[in-house]
Amino acid sequence: MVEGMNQCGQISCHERSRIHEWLSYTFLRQSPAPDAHARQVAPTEVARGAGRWISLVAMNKIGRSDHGAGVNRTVISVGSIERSENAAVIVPVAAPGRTRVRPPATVWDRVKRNRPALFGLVVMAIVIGVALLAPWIAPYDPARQFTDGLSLEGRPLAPSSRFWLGTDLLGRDLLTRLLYGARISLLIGLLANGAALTIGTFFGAVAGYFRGWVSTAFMRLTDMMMAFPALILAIALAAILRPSMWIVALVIAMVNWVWIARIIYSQVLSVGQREFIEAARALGVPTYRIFWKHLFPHLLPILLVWGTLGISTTVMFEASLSFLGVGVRPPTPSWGGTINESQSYFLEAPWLVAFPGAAILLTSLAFNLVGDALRDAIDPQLRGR
Amino acid sequence: MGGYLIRRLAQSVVILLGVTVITFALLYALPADPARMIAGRSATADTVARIRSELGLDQSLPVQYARYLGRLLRGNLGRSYAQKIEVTDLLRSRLAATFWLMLGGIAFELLIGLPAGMLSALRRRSAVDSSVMLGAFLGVSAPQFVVGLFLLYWLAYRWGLFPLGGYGTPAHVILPAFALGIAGGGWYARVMRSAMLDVINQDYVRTARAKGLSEPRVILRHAVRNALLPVVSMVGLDIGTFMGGVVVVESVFSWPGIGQLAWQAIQIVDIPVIMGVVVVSALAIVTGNLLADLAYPWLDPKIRYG
Repeated sequence: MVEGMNQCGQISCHERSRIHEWLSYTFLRQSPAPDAHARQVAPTEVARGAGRWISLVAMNKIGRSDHGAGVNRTVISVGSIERSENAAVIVPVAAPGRTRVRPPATVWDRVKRNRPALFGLVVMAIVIGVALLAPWIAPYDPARQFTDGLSLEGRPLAPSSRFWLGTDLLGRDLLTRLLYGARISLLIGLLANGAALTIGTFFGAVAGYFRGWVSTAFMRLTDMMMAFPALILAIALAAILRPSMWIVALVIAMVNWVWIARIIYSQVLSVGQREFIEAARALGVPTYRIFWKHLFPHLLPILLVWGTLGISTTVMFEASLSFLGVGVRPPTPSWGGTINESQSYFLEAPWLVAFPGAAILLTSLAFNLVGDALRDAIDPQLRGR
Repeated sequence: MGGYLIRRLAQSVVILLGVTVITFALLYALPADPARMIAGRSATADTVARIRSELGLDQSLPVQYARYLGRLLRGNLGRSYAQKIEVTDLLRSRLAATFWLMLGGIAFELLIGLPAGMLSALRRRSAVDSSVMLGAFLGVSAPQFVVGLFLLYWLAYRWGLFPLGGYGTPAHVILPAFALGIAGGGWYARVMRSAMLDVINQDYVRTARAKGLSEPRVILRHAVRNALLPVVSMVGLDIGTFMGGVVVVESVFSWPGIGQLAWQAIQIVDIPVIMGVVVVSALAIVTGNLLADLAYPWLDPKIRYG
């Protein structure tokens, strides 16, 4: 039934869009595929391309045997099928869940060869592990002030065998505070970034899909948001609203969503013009279904990339807010907050800035490296750069 | 060109108006009572009410905004609640400091980013390339305040090469500008590298080589000049962002710029000053973008605005 399955090959973007075009065309008209077209996507030719994996799946859902020999052998992975009374359109590839367009193995293969990215991945795993396991791996309680945690003059202690990274101004174990700080950083990173992605995707996709005045209004709104002095606005909001973790995350999201929205917007603008969207629309597929089934899968790779890169931005942003003293409130351990508290002691106890600083740097670096590697792996244009 | 310019200017005005509306709404909707803050903790309710009506804070929000806008159009940003000085005077006294810091920051960004990106592109896929790119990522990922504090610790405190923060001489500007420029330098290096890689395979570069130009001349005159385009728009953006005040760096180095002004005003909810800073910052960002867009056709004759 599934012919040519063993001849899975890679096809380039260009070829893929040819296939899309051809499919939408063919099935909108319900005409058998002319041989010339069928040849275009014959597995042997496809295999020469430099792009992505496709699996050759028979289109049993629309009764392939009626459509002549060409179709039998050629068709690409079927994302979903839209039909109406007299037409059917295959919405190809990139609808994850049913058929994998890009099995993780290929992305993983490319990431694997990228040594900085591997390093980033390891650091990322460590930071996430630490954040999850903080209560079990931390040597002490983060709030505990040790009586022997300060020198006789009341100064914080340098790293020693008892306090591996030394103690902070209140005689608390710095290592413990940093391990717990990973929780706050990552949690705010995830919350803020998740919110920014959601808002950004929503606005970007709606504006890109409907165009016209919606898109004009969107562009002006984002122009306006981009003209805001982001940090000043964030500080003002955080300072006046009294920072809780939720507020900090929300403030960061409010500042960051614009960039995501612009990226999604331009992506939807180009995807939205492709034939399969037009075909779906012509068939009267409800808009929400077009968004969810046809548009969204095409945005996933980008969202993955910016979701990763965005964590790095939000971690830095949170650290800056905490450093200025408008992040999460003091007894809660946070990296930026520790640096803020220690600033006055900095010249005598530089490790109080160095260790949390290194934590921020490494976390942000790790997410940047991984996000960048993902971008390279996903965007064929950047490949080999 | 003229039509384009007018359209862009009109857009900028709309953007600025929008920024004032949103900031105004946000600041006045917040649960902070400026009248109470000015009056002090021990003031009676009468005093607070009097101050409130003096400042026009008892009016409805749209009325307050309309008044604010009216004054803004005449170049009057109001009076600081805390210092009883015109906000415009406060801003003017800080702009010079911010300007020098902006200039220094951008200079460092370019000094770090351009050579690094060019080197990386010319030695593509070598050890040099990968270490430069890793360095660029480090620069991008380093929090400014940590970089700043360590510059202060080593270069100023330990080795005494620079003053420990403050403002006045050219020596004062170097450390904060460097702390400011590192992150941008990382971005510039990445952008420059990929722009160079794009340009180097173009026909005109091959032609330049074919007609026998020396390699440095090919690279500098033909490749670099074209690869600079994306960097120009980044510089435009950065002029805007930096002129709008860099709170973190200014606070680490006690640099008396717009960012510090904003930070101090925020702590005491001095709304006219915060508004003033936001307006000036937005103006700077919009102008920076405009400059970048206008520089494009000047650098690249292929681009023309209708």
